[in-house]
Amino acid sequence: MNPQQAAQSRSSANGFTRRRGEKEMGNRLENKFQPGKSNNRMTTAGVQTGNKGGIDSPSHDRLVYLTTCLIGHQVEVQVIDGSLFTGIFHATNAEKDFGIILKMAHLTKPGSSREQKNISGSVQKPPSKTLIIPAKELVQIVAKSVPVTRDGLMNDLQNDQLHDIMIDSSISQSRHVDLERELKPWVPDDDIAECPELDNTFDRHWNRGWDQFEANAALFGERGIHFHDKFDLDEETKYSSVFRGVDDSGYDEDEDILDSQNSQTFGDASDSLPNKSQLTSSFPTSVEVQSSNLNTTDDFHPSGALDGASITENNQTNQQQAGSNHTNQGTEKHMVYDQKHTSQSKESSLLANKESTDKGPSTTVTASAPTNVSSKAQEKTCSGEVSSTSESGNAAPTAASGSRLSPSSSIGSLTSEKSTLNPNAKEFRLNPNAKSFVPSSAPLRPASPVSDASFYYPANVAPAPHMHGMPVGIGMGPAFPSHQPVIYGPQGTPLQPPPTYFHPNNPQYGQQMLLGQPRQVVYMPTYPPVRKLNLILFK
Amino acid sequence: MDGTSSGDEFAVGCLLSIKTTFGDEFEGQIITYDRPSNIIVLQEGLKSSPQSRRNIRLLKANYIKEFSFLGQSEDPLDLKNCYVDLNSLQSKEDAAVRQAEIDVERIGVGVTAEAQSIFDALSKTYDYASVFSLMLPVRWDKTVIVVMNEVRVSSPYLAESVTGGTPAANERVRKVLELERRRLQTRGGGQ
Repeated sequence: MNPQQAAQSRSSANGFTRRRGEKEMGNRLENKFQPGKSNNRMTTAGVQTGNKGGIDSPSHDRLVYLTTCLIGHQVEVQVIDGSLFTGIFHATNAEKDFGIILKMAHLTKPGSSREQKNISGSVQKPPSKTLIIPAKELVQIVAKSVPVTRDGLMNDLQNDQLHDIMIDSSISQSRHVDLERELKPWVPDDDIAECPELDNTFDRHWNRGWDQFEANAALFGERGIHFHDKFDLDEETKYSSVFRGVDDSGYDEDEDILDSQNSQTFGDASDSLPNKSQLTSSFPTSVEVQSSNLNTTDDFHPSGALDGASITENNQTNQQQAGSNHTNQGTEKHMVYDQKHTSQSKESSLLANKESTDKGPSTTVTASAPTNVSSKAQEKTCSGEVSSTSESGNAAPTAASGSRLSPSSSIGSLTSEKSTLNPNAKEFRLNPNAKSFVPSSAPLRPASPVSDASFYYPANVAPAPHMHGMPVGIGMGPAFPSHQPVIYGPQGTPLQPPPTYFHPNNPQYGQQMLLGQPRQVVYMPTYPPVRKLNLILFK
Repeated sequence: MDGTSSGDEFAVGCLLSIKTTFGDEFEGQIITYDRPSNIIVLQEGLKSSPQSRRNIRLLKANYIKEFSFLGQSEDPLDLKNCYVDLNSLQSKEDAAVRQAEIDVERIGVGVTAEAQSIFDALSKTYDYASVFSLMLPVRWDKTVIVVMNEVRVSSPYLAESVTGGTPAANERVRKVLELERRRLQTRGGGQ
């Protein structure tokens, strides 16, 4: 390999030329860095120092290797006046005398030549974005938990990725972030106990002692969701009392039969049913109309003009109505069960029915599922007002005869395909002991201290607007005549005393410094999906 | 001094106890000693069992005040396992810088320790918000604490110094502020 390549590969530890030579270095150094072998990669022909042998030695290789391992690591550097700087190791000029460069460095311990800050005065100076420490100033570098071997390096990378995700949690815990810090559980101070609403934001309504699974087990003898053979049935199909066939085309022929049965059950009222066939699963059962001359259109439709499409809203509505004791974090599973066996939905449906049955005679519409076709579906009616009229008598055996088509009679829909009851539906059983839903006056979530409107503020998108100290002023060019202090305070004035200043000894170094020019890195958090989530949760 | 490797390598693995001119004392194992730069690289601790993570110290040899030889051990570096992935190092550095920049936001410049304590207390209170917003709900604006971008607490960080925001938010911040102040007082009148 030629000397230039060697020089570039040597400067791999030096961050400046990393970009330039990265490709080459990537090939050579990415996987194997064998400091002991001085055969090929680490030839040193291009080095200008007098110590020919020193650079070539494996000792030097080791040094370079170890400093490379330090890149990105938090280090503590002691300089000649005793000051300690803490920062992220960025680079070193390995070919020369090992001056180093730190990023986001700040003074942790002032040395003898610095003024001691007043204890009750300022806490800290802002960290410098780039800090250059010449080799002459350097005393020692201390780094903790440095991954030296390959495994360690891989672990480190994974930890970093985890750490990125955990940034917020680490932000809130301490201001001195140490990657290797041992996490301690947060113990609330005594004072903070006075603000319970914050701590218990999600605790309060979470579990008032209602175990859905137990309730289901009691009612149905099963816990959780059990899948039928037809695994791909969604819950609506499974638990809805209305059977919605998948294939629409096949219903044409059935409609006649539907008509006949409908007319038997409901009289002639079935024509004008506007798409009310699609009972959603929110309506747990079909409704049996007692009176034959009852206009079914008005009667039985419980929750307004529901249709299958609005099942989601309905589920939510029902959930609230059904008095589920869960917050809106409750799952849909629960909703389904709720509909099946709580009386709330019945009540709501009854209520809705009453609203809509202005026209009809004062028959009470009972929410029952007489026409649930499944063989196990022997529905009882709820409020006891069911008398077995001829119609219901008709309906029942018709339904029980196992035809899927007849159940639609209770719905009364003719036109729509989806007019049959769900043969797979679970039997409806009224639970007289179920809690009736009473909307509590308290909000579902304790009032947050900040009003909703201003709760989420995405506008603050510039968390690092200020430059923390200008980096090297030497980036002007290779010729750097004046002894300008390198480190600047936030106002652009040099710090007192300038801890380091850089004398470029040769154009090469100065040129390299160009790459260290100020780069305004503004950290822009971009997490739009999370924002949306936030809106949903807190509205 | 011909740069032969033999001259340098004898030092590898030596266990030393070193005292620097600044008074630091430590023990460690030599990983390498580079004559041209006069830097000695030590691995902290005396046990030579290979670990993936070590405490490393690079020391300029001319600042060694005194040292004592504790023993000789084997090479702490397993040369077969020395791999460096530059890309991952680069991303590690980027992540570290990002984190540091975020941290900077949280530390006030030119503010008293008391003010910083108040800031930290407010940060803890609004922590749950940060989980969802992924942004700092509490930040410094020069010497003013800004909460949720609305409520501002300026020096001297008293209950009267809380301005802005909705009444509820304002009240909340005030409350936390007072609690924190009380806490600081009971702990001995601040720092």
